[in-house]
Amino acid sequence: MAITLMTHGDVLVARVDDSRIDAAGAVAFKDEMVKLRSEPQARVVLDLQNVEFLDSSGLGAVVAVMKAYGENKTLELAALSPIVEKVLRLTRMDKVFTIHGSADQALAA
Amino acid sequence: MSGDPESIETLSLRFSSSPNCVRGALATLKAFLTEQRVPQDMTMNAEIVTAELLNNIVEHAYKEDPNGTIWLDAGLCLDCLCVKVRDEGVKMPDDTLPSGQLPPSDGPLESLPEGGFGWYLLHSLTEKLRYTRAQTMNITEFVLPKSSG
Repeated sequence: MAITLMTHGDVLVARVDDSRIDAAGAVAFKDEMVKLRSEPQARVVLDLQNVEFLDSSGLGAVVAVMKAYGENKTLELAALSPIVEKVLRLTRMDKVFTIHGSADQALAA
Repeated sequence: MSGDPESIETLSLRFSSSPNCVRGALATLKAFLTEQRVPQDMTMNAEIVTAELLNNIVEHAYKEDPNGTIWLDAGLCLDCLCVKVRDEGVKMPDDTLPSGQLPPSDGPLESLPEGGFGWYLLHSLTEKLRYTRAQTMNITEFVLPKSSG
């Protein structure tokens, strides 16, 4: 799972460079993201601008990452494409995350 | 589509029970619907629910064995898409579909659900979702209306 990391002060932006977080790649995604637990930034922004598709496996993996970060680190989402937004909204998991229109907006927040 | 109100555009796929073959089948289904100028929302719903069903077959019917076969037949009518998926994996427990209740997400962080979303998505976005078994074959069918949420 290709993820590009950029730090901006207290924020770590993790941009997924694969177009799908699905059953085929959810475990690899989770493993890569959980590794960031050891990074010092308190906020991790998951930039999903390239992700066109998220299924229930992908959603479960994102939740697992958030749980792995615990209370010490927040996981926020940015740049949801239509299917990603729809899956989060239908499952009511959009209420669980802070969601930004873009990574830039997350940094300005 | 032609002027005949009974005409149906169809798609028939046969592929292996691996996650990458599932991706390929979904891409083919999406291209078919796009080519048929189906409303975007319906194409999105079709990809979402078909992915959940196929993932379930790979994981539970075939228990991650990539050598199984999956058949997908889709028929596009004037106002809906009918999908039938067949596999030769193990049968559904209790010969019935999971009910698909949405896991609650209003509790503390450590209680947040990591699964159980798939059947909820299938039940809520489709109509006439049904499962039957014929000899060694599992048959799951559903209808996606063209105008929906």
